[in-house]
Amino acid sequence: MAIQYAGGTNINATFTGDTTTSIVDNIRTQLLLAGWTSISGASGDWIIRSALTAASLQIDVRLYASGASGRARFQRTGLSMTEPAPLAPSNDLHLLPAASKTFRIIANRYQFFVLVAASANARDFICGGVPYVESFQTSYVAWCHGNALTDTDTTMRPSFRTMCSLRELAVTASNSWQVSASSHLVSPTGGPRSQGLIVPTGQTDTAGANPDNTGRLWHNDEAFKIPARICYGVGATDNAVERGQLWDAVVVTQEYTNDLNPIVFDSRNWYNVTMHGVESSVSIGLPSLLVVIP
Amino acid sequence: MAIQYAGGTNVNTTFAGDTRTLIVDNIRTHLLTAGWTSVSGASGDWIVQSALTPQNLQCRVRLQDPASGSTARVNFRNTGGTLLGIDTYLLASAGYIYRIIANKYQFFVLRAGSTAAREFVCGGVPFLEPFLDTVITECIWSQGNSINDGDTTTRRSFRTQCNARAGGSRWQVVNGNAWSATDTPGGNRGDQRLIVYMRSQHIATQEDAGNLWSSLEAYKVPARIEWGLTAITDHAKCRGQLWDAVVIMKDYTADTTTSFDGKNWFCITSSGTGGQTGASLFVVIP
Repeated sequence: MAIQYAGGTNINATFTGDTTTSIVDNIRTQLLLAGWTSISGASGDWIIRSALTAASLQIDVRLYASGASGRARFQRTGLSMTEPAPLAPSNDLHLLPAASKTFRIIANRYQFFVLVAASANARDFICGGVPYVESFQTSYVAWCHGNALTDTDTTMRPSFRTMCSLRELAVTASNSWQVSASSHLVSPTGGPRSQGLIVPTGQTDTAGANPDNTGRLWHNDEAFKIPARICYGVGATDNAVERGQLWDAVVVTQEYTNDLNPIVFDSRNWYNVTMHGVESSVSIGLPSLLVVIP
Repeated sequence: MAIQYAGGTNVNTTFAGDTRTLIVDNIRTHLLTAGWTSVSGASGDWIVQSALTPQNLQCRVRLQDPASGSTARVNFRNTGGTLLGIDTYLLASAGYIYRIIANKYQFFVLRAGSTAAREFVCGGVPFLEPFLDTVITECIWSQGNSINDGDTTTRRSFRTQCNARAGGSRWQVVNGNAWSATDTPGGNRGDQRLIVYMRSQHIATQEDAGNLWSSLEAYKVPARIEWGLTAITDHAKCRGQLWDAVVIMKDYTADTTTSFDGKNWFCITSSGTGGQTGASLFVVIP
C-alpha cells in the first residue's frame, strides 16, 4: 500500500505551445528525457512508447498536430492507432496552442501530465499512462483523459485538473479512455464507471444527504495522504473498481493553492495538479492529486 | 497503517440475558476473562476497567441493573470518574441470548441476527498512531442502538452502518472534551463514524464505486474511528483505530464469520441498511 515511485528521470519542464506542431514536438522531447522512446514519425506526428513497467505494462502515444489542437492518442503498445477491435485507441486528447502560451509537462517513464499553470480551461490539460499494479492484478491496464471533447470544445470537461474524479453531479461526457485487458471504454458518459481516485472519507449518507464531507483529517488536522489509486469501469454498466496506482502520485484530502510546488514530503518534491473551486462540484474527500517533480 | 491487534485474550461467547442482573454480571465475567479488571461493585452493579493500552489509554465501564425498567445499562467513563458517559441499553428478556466479543481494550455486545433496539452496545479505547501518541492523552468511545429504556426504534450504530450518525446513545471523549448525543434528528458531522474508502465523486452522487479491487475483492482497511472534538457540530476527525478490527468495503450479512491475516473475524454490521458506500465492521474472534 506504499507510494510507488517510477524511478528513472522525473521531468518538470515548461515549453512554448504557440503552434500545434510545437506542442507535440515539445511533449515528445520531454518524454524522451523521461525515458520514453520514439517509435516512428517526424515533426508534427510522432508515435512514442513508455518504458515497460515491472508488470509488463506499456503504452504507445501518438502525438500529432491536426486542426486547432495538438493531439495525443493513447493505444496499447503494438496495436494500431486506428485499431477498431478488440481494443480501440483513445479518442484524441486536445491541447490548444496560442502565441506565447506556456505549457508544463510533468512526466516519468510511465505517465505524464500536461497542463497550463493556473488554467482549468478546456484544451489545457491532458494526462495518462500505465499504472503500477498489485501482484494479484494481471490484466493489461492503461488510462488517459483530457478536459475537452474536441479540438473546438470550449467547455471544461471533468478531469484530474479540477477534481480527483470524472464523476460530476450531472452525468456528463468526458474525454477518457480506460482499459482492462481488451475490455475498455472510450469516453463513457459519466456515472459509476467514470475514472476517479480513491479517497478515505467519513461521509456517511446516501445520495448527497448530509453532504458535510467530514472525516478527512486526523485529530491534529493533518490530511490523509494515500497512494493515488485509480478506479474505473470497463463495461457500460460497470461500477468503477481499483485498476492500479498512479506512479509518483498521492491523493491528499485537503485543498492546496493552484499549482503549488514544491510541497515536500517523503524526501521528494511534489506538485499540486488539482485546482479546487473551479467546478461546481464538491467532491468526496476534497482531495488533491500531487505528483513528484525533481 | 496496519491492523492493530490487542494481544491477550480474545473473547467470543454467548450468555443468558433473561434478567438485567444476569446481563451485567455476565458481561463483567467475560470482560475479566478478556483482561479487564474489576474496580468495585457487587452483583447487579459493577465498575470494570480496561487494560492500559501501549499509548496509555484506559477506560472504565459501569455495568448496572437499575432495579427497574426493561434494560441493563452500560455506561462508559474515564478512569478518574470525572467524565461520565451516558447509558446504553440492553433489553432483558426470558430466553434472550447475547454475544460478547471483547479484547482487553474494547467490547461489543449484540444479539445474533438482530438489529433490534436495545440489543447492541460497544465501546472502548482505541489504538493511537505514533504521531498522535503524545497529542492524545485521553480517548474513549461508546455507543448503543437505542436512546432510552423503552425505545423500540432501532437507532443507527455500528450494528447497522459504519457510523452512528443520528444514532442511539453515544458518548465520546478526547483530551477532556466529552460530549454525548441521543436522538439528534439527522445527526451531524461530528457523530461517530469509521473511515471508508471509495472513489472520489461529486458529494451528492450515490454510487458504490472504487470500493473493490479489479479482482472484485473488497478493500480491507483498519477501522479508524472519527468524531467531532467538542460538539456534534464539529467536523469528525480521526482519533484512533479500533483494536482487532477492519472495515471491509462491502455489505455482508450480520454475524458472518471469515478468516484472513491468520485470524478469525466476525461481522458486526448488518448489510444493506444504507451508508455512502457498502461497508462492514469486522472484529477478531478466537
